[in-house]
Amino acid sequence: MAFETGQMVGFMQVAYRNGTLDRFMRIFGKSVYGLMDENGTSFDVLIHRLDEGGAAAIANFERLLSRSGPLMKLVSRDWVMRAASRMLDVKAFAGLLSLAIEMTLAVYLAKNEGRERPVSDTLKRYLRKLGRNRGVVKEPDPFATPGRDVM
Amino acid sequence: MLALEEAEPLSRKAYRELEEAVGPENVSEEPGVLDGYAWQPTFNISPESWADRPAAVVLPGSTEETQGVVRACNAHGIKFKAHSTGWGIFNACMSGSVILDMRRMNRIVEIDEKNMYAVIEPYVSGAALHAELTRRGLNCHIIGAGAGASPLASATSGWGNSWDSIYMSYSPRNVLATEWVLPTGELLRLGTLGQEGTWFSGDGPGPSLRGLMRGWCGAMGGIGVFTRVAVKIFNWPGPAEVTDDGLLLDFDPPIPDNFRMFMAVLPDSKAFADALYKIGEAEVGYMSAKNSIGMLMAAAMPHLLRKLPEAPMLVRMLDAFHYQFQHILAGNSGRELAYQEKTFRRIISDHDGFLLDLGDTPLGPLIFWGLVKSSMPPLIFRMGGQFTNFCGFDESWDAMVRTAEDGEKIKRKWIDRGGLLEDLADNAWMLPQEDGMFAHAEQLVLYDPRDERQMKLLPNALANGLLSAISNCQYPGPMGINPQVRQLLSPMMSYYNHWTKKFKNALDPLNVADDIAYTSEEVVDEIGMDLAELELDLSPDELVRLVTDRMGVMTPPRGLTLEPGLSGREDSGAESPASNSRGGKGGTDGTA
Repeated sequence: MAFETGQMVGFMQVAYRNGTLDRFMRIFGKSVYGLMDENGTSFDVLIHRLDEGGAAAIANFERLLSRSGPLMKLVSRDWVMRAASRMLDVKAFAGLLSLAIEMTLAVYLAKNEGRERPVSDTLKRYLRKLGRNRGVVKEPDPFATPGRDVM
Repeated sequence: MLALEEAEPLSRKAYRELEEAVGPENVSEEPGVLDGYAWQPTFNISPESWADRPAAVVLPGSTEETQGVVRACNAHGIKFKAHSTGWGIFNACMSGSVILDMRRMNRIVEIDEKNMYAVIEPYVSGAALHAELTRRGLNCHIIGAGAGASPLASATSGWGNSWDSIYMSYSPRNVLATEWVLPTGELLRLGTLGQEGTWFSGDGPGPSLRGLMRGWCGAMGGIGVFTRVAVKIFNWPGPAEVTDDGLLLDFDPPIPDNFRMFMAVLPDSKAFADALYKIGEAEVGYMSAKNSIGMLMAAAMPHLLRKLPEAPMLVRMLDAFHYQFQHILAGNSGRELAYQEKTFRRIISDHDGFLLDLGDTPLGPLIFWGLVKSSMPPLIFRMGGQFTNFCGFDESWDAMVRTAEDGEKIKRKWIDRGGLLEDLADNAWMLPQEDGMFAHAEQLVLYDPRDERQMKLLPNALANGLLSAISNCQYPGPMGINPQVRQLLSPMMSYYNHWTKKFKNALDPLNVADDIAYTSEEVVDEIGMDLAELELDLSPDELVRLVTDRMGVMTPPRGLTLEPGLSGREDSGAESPASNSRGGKGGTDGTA
């Protein structure tokens, strides 16, 4: 069942109200930066590659969106979003989600450009990346601003 | 007016005098060179994309040389027109005019940090001034035409709105003392420059002449040449220099720590309008603009945008971001920034909106620097090669929200008929100005000048946009340079074209300043805006009602003698203005 525009707005409102959207944006940003690092590309190149999505990719996305109505309705609740926010505060979960988004984007781009590899290969690659990242002391986030901390 | 019409060559005596004024190496009448000045495809809806060919081009290097050129033109009865960075059909001249290309006058004369102004020559670009100012912790207003455009041109002779207008206002409000070569060749120094040789004020003593100089939208070069101007400058709390590889979408160094970059999304037009007023009242915003989702996609993902008709679910998802704008906060300290962010978030929440913190994603730096350096405008040409605009201009924020919605409806119809490129129809570029005290909106129209169908239908879409603007009592933007449009607008705008004609006659007794986009009755592009020839959404009866109603809005001020042939009043054979009240011509019942 497809979603309506108003439903999408409602979903975003609930996500923002409960801090989920802010947390997700940080994770999503990390995924995209990760993808750029992994592929050695700039954001510009990445945009161009996404822009050249073929008819099959668009059809897949349309199919996904056309089925998202019930799920969107389900999660557009304050208690669900509060719970999601708490989960996103768990570093391990946030890290896994970031990696999953990065992997999904990588698979999409590979498919779109006709250099498809078995999903298992991509999965192994990202599991190795996950292993590499464990125990690594992170540099301070260069995009964090004093303003956010003061908040 | 014919495209690339061969202009009458200048007499050898006149040509020699131009050479004497600027040096032989700075004058040309080579056809190949001149055609470079006749190629004016932007805001030119003629399929030819050419304007008339000038008779010669001269490059003055100083105010004195400019005066020499203007005096030579006066002596020989030759029309002249100056331009700075030369963007758009407004720079077109009449066949046989002499073009003054001001590129040799490219100096930043003075930056007064204490009194917060910069004195510049015509060919100083927004980018050059911005680069010099940021080293001093200062910044300047760069217009939406982009960093390559001249701040002097918009301050003295044209429009000039931008994403920084929430804080830095727009060009007509930033102009201070001015040095002006009148059409006779005399030098006029406006404001404090004329009194004591300083630049800090554009007014006095006595009556200010700034209104005469530029009014609301400028004379487009029709009343002389502006050789130096002081413009206001502003605070820049960012780094002195930013270095990175790449251009446009590749230029994405991190956002400085004391800035934040958001996309704010509101649920409907009322919340969108109300929230912006509150943000203005709270004075939190360094830059703010609605660059529509359609525009962002046209700039960054034009291929995907073309495929959207096949993706109704994606369109539905994007429609959730219809009432969004991008907003930059800047703080001189972490504490100030935190206060601003808290206030901004509260206002958005109070209006049931949500924020996307773009600073957390690579999109943030890209848009941030695109706005700060005004480097994005060239991307508008990416989708189809050209764009134009219609509807509204500078008015209250509420009026701009309404005008954007009206424009969207008009555009949808013509997009569906194949007359315009798909951009989700909502492509209003909207700017709160001076903390929302007033606002600006343009409904951007993307088209491909190589597409015959689009070129045939485009004027119809623009004409309907024009009528929408008239029905909302608004100026229709660059279309206003057309004489037919001036005739329509005249009665509802204090008969402004009669006043400008009087100014022009007084300042230019020999009529040598080329006023093609100002007071001349010659059509600047080949199309013009002849409503009788176009397909309109209004029935003939509705059109007559709208136009006659608007013509009855304002009677001419006492003492203003209407110039024959300038407005619809006397041409239409209507009764005398004094007896032509609104009630006498049918109601203003929102016919359109």
